[in-house]
Amino acid sequence: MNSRRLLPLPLFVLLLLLTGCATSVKLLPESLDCPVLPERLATACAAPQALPDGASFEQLIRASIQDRQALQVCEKRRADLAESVRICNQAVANHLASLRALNQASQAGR
Amino acid sequence: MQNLIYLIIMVLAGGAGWYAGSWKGRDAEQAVAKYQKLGDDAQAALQQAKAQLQTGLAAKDASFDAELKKLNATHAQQIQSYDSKIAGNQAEITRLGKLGAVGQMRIAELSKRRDAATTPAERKALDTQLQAAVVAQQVVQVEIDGRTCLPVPVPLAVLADWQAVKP
Repeated sequence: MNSRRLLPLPLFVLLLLLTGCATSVKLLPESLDCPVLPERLATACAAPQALPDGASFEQLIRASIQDRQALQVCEKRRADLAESVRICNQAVANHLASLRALNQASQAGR
Repeated sequence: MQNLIYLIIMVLAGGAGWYAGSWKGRDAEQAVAKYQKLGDDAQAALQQAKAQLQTGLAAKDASFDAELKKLNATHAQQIQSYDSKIAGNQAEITRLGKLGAVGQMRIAELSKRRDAATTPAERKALDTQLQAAVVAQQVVQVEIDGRTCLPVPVPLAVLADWQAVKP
């Protein structure tokens, strides 16, 4: 009974040793992403000011100033996101170039 | 004896097979090692690209935050300046009214002196002064008119066009 119980042990040790013979190949590396902060992507432009009937010229001018300011901020945010995309595109292009160089070096080494 | 020869041939054949097989395996091992190195190099390149990208975006973000802060401060200052002008509107209208009265007096005086001028040169010089005084007076009057309109309600038909631009 005891010998039957012990039989799997050498087999287990043998299997454990055999795992050392296994060749492990790493998976392909993940691709380069563009880590733009979600809050920057979620920011919307401010809505135009609303004026009720009976609003004065003074209120109209004030609302126009605020709309112009909002437009400036909106454009700045748009330009910032465009710059983020440009930086990311440049990084991806550079990364692809380095991968191509690695591939070429690997091909040349054959 | 014959069996021994067979045995030797079988051993030699086995050895040859093992040898040939080991060569094939060696090629495979080299190929795997090569692809492993390629994978490691690609992983290193990825980490480097990620680090560079993070640095580039962080620098851009810092610059953007500073510019946005500056822009918001400028905007707050603009609104504050506007509000202070509106708050002092009536006082400014009063001041400009007094300035306008002085301007009117100066125009009347210059007109009188020009009419009484004895030489063409004196008349021409007074004409020049008079024209400048009239222009200055027009500027003051435009300012008074505009400031007087500030608290006036915008005509509904005009405001309707402005309100038509919905968010």
